[in-house]
Amino acid sequence: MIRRIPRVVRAGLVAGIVSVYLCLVGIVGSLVTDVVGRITVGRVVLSIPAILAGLVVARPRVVSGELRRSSVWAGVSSGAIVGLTTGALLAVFIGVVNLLGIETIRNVFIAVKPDLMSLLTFGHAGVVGSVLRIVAEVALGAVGGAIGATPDRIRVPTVIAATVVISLGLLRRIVHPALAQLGLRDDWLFSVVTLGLTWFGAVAVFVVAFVTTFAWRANSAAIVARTHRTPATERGVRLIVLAAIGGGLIALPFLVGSIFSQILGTVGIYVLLGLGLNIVVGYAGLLDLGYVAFFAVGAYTTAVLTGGSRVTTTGYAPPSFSLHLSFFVAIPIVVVVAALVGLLIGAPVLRLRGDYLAIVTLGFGEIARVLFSSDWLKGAFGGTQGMTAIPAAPIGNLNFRDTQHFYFLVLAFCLIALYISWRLADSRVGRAWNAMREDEQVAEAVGVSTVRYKLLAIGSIPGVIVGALVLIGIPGVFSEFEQYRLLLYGAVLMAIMILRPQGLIPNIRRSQELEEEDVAQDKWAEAVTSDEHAASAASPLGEGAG
Amino acid sequence: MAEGTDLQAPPGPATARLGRLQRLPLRRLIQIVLAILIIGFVVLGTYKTLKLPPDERYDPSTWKAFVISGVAQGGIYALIALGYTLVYGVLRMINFAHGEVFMMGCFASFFFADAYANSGLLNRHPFYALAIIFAIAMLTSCLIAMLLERVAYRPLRNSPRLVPLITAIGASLFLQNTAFGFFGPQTQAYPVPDVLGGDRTWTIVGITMQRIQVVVIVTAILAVIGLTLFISRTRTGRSIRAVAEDREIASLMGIDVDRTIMITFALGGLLAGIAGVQFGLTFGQVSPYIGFTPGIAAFTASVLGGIGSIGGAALGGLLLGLLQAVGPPLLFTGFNIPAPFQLQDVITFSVLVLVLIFRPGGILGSGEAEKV
Repeated sequence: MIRRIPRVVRAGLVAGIVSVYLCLVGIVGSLVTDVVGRITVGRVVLSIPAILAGLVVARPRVVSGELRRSSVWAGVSSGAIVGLTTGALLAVFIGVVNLLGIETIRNVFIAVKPDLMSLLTFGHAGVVGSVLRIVAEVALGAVGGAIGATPDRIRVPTVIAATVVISLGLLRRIVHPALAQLGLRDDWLFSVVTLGLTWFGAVAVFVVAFVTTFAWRANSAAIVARTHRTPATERGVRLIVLAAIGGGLIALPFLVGSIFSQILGTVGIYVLLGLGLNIVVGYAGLLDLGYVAFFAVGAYTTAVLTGGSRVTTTGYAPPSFSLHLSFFVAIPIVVVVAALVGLLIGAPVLRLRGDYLAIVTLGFGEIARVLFSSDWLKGAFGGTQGMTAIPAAPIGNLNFRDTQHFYFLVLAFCLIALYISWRLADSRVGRAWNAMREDEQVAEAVGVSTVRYKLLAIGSIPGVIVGALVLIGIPGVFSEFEQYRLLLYGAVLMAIMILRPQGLIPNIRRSQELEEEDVAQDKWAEAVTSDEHAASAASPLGEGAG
Repeated sequence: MAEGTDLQAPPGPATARLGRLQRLPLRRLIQIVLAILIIGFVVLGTYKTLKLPPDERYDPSTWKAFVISGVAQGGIYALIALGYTLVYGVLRMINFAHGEVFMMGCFASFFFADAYANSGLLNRHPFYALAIIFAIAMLTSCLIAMLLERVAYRPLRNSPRLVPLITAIGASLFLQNTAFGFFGPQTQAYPVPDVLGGDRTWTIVGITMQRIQVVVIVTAILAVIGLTLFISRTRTGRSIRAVAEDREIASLMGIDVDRTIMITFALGGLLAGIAGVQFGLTFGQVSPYIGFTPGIAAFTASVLGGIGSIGGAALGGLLLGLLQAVGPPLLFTGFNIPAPFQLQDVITFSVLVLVLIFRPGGILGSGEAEKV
């Protein structure tokens, strides 16, 4: 039955449902920071479903082996129909709310407030408001359709430029101090009143970003070809890139101020965690959901060894066992303790198959959490109140309490961990992991004593860093989304698994294999939809199913 | 595995050493030590608790109350566990978001229960009100489970096993935080009709039980019987069994596999909805976070009973409920551990880990090779 509804209307319905969902879950109404002029984050988010649906509908697609590209006019009109459907659904939502009364609805859905309704209806009551919403959605859908139908060389810069404008609009908190540090004025860019971009600034940034991306995309192939001509230049380029990255990493905290440095420090901690998890999940193919237990073991051991205090109702109290070691003396002991715990937990369960291993490790993680926060071990670890007053890590006069200094401490550990995982990947152990991850039977036959695991190739070192940046950095930087962080994580996790299971930046060897497979499987489709190819690889690991 | 390696490896001093190590693997050693430690702990804890001086000891009526509440709790676990087992049986997949399906049903029914409590209907006609509340919860959970299947799991039907599992974790986070955004973070009081409320008891075959517990146990038993009949007697039930047996052959026999899988999820959702209302009535509260712990506990229950088997899920739920209610006071009080019920989840997860290590097929299951 659903298949009989035209594709355009179906896309519109999905966009409409997503829009209503965004309203109900509170994202639209509660994100009131201005991005450009008086347009709030909530409005931007609300406009995305219709634009995206229009874009998807108008994009070139393969119909029975033949690429069908729609003209811009056709794109606009199909986008408009999408928008009409979306708008109709939102109008129904507005109607239902008006019929039952905001207060009644609010007893259940707490996000339905007068503010949200006036945002949806542009401040007009009754039918006028609904009609305005429908008109707005038609316009958004048409814009999406137009973007979708234009050729790649226009569409990609447009999307990128729009993203840059919106991000910049949210980033005043960080960009403003950075520009001030460099002695640049930014009152043409950021409005003093709304704290978002001015319209002039938005248009200027859009134009600059569009032109830059357009020019880069037009010429990048030529530039790359020129610089990569000989191994010597390649090495030189690589050195320059490395030096630039190193310089950037060192200069970064001074450039962006202490708030952002703290975020960077947090990102660094997650990079460390991610690198460790990458060894377990990415190299060895074991989905360890209780990995954070080791994080907890490490943190509590450090606290106990360096002389942290328990928090009690009457104040601080020393734990039942406590040493006063320096942080750097404690670190090796902590590492050994965490590794021992890992060995103890790992040894009995390693024979379990992938998904059972995942659940068992999750169980271990929960046991750790329950034990650390229990009244039973309160004397040692402070129960639910936890421990505090953990001494800083001192080197001479530096104590790393300062967020910028702390950043460097984390950076140092990240570099060590990076080096280790890099070397590990090519070591005997790393190659054994790789082998058993790829095909455990062959690995076993050539003498690698395997544990029987299928792989999930979400592991790659740059991928871990980018992932930590995206997941921790973005909500930290765009603090508006803080409240919806976990919601977004869930959605992102599902979306990545369904659309791109090999991860954001897949392991190179892995992705080459995947590509070869894809080429073999659907050569004809590959040829005509080279630009759509990445998203269509829904189950590239499919050969080992079940 | 060890034998296989031995067969393939050419003889030599190095492999001989390896062979000896493999004959006494560290893993087996740790398992044995683990088993001895745990058995020792259980025996010693029980002994110490039972030998406590009379004024510190629980009296027999308290133990009886623990057992009854354990059975009632087990009924709730059993119903959620059936959802895990059904989906696992058909798709060989752990539907990690099932706890959230249960939570959504509980929440949806809460708003109706609350409205009925305010209008007085809940106390005037408790039976009808409860019937509607159960129906709402079942409907909601059922719809959400079906939506989940359609949106999140169907596209991944032929992916490696870990991919749907990660998706399910994502779905779990997503649903939990959706409830957070929709209904707010606060814990709300789930209204209980006066007839069932407080300390009102019924005495059945000489055992005095709180009325809520009677309702929970009876609905759980009815639901299990109903499900068993559905699976064994109806045409749809037969197609579910066929798909569970072999999906490809079933589809060759003319069974609509997609529809059957959808129905399986729907059944799991219905049962989770019932469990949601039972949970609300028993504990008198609802919040976006109630899904996780019962979800994991129910999964443990289904593994304990033997995942994939309906009787196993029911039995596992009952046993786990009992273990959770009787275990902490019995094992921990003797060691003078304060607040033993805080460590309930430690018992749950220890059971899960131990079952998977020592008897992965569960009590009633046989598919030992499946999990290892």
